[in-house]
Amino acid sequence: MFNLLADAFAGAGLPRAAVFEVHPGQLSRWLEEVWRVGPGNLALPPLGATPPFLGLPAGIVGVLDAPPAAGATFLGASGIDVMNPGNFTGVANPFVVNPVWHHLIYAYLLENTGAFEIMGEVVRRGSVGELLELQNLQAIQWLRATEELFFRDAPTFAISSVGSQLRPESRVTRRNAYWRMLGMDLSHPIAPRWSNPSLGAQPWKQDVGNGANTSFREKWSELLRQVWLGYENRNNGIGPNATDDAFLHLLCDSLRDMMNMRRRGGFLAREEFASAAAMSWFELTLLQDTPIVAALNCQAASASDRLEKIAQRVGMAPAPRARELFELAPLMSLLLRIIEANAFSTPALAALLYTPGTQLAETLNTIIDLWQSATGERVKDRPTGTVTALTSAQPVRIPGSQPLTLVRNTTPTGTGGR
Amino acid sequence: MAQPPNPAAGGMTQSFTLSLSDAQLDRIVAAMQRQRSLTAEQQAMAEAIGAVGSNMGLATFSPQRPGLVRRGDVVEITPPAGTASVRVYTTRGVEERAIDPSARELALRGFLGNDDRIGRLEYLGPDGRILGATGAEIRQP
Repeated sequence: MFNLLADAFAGAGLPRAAVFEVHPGQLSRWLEEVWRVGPGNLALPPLGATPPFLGLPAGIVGVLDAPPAAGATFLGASGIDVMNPGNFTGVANPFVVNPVWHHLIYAYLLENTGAFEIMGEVVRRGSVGELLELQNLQAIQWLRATEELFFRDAPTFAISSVGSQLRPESRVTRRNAYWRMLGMDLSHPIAPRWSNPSLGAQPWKQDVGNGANTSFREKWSELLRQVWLGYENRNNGIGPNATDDAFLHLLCDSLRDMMNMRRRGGFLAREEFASAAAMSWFELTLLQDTPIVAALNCQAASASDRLEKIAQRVGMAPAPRARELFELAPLMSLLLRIIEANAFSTPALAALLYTPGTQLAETLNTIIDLWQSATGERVKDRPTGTVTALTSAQPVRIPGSQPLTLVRNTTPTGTGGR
Repeated sequence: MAQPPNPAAGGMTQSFTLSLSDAQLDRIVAAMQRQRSLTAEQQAMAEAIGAVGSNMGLATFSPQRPGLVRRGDVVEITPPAGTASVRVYTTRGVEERAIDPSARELALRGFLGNDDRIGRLEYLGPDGRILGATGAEIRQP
């Protein structure tokens, strides 16, 4: 999200960190404009131009977008000028060509690094005291924009406003979305300072019912194993080849159906948009020695190293595998986005996941390496030595079935259908 | 052709000699190339996925970013009656240029640097009022 805006600044010859110099009000309006314009079509053959799958029936973007910014509107244009972040042009700008925002997995992986909580603590300490000794105007700009955009209620009627009296804590709202779409929890608990004990230990799981993709991880891991199998055997000219493109295709279909199930009616589209926007802000903050990083004297060579140094400043610690998570997030986001859009609709297309010579295959190889390293789950392991037992390259069944919620088709009556 | 080991000839050493004709080698190389090359369908999908990655802002896919324009590219325009100028939105900002209402093409040479992107065209009347707008169709030589 904000990476696309940073690209626009970079295209105009300014540093990517110029994003942090834009007024948060403009940034908030720009998010609204991106929602209104996008998402761009994926143009995946043979389907042709199709938008990212945000739910069926289609049209969740149009249903929820704000009226266009024009002369008579109750919401103004962002007016961002990529030649000068301090300027206000009064028009909706910059236009991003076919913006495709990140999948929810992107937000999940980045939040798992601890970046949200650590940078939040920076904002809190920077706001309530002088322990951090920040003496940089641009750092103060960042503090103000971060607090306004992500640590308070979003502007009324804004697309990123996914909090209310009914779900007041953004941390819980995001965890609820992660649980439903990915069947996974963040690896760190909510700090006591921000949790409400009266809601129970895991309020994000309450009232979800069967609407959680609890077998996502199992299916995903099997997909990676099968892709690696294809990668291992990619050059086999003779002898047996355990690669099964049809099974790969089956796994992609299974993952697609599972995620599409959670998006019926456009559910989770807003939550995904708001979560991806928030996490892209913190990723952008940490990808370079931005002004706030410099003000904290935490310059380093990588995002994870910067996060670790910043965490030390505020008495916290990031995830041990933050580096892998930072690198994995955008790549896995792309893969799940195109799986959801049914890009691998035939065994031949599923074979693209490991066929050498494409950026996609290289990306998959990187994803496998990073996933294995981040989770400790062995994807590449094969039997070693003299194997006498019969082992199958593919499991008997697609991993992890999960219960479906049945809708009661009861005719409403005066007694509530009883 | 492969020669099997011959213990009777005085040894158990397994020595293989592979002698192939040029034609046989050509067939093997062709088969290996066929195995590694993508079908048209796969190639199209791989490129399409690259474009999606680019639109998501993934650095590894950025060389294939669609919508990039270069100096010398031409935008087809259809100015409505009364158009006095055209406003072009690019990643470099917003720029305006006076045009002849009968013009059907707009060269981007004067507007853009290399690798800029163009998002929208607006046709303006003499008083600056927007008479029409369109997404830009870019034709590259």
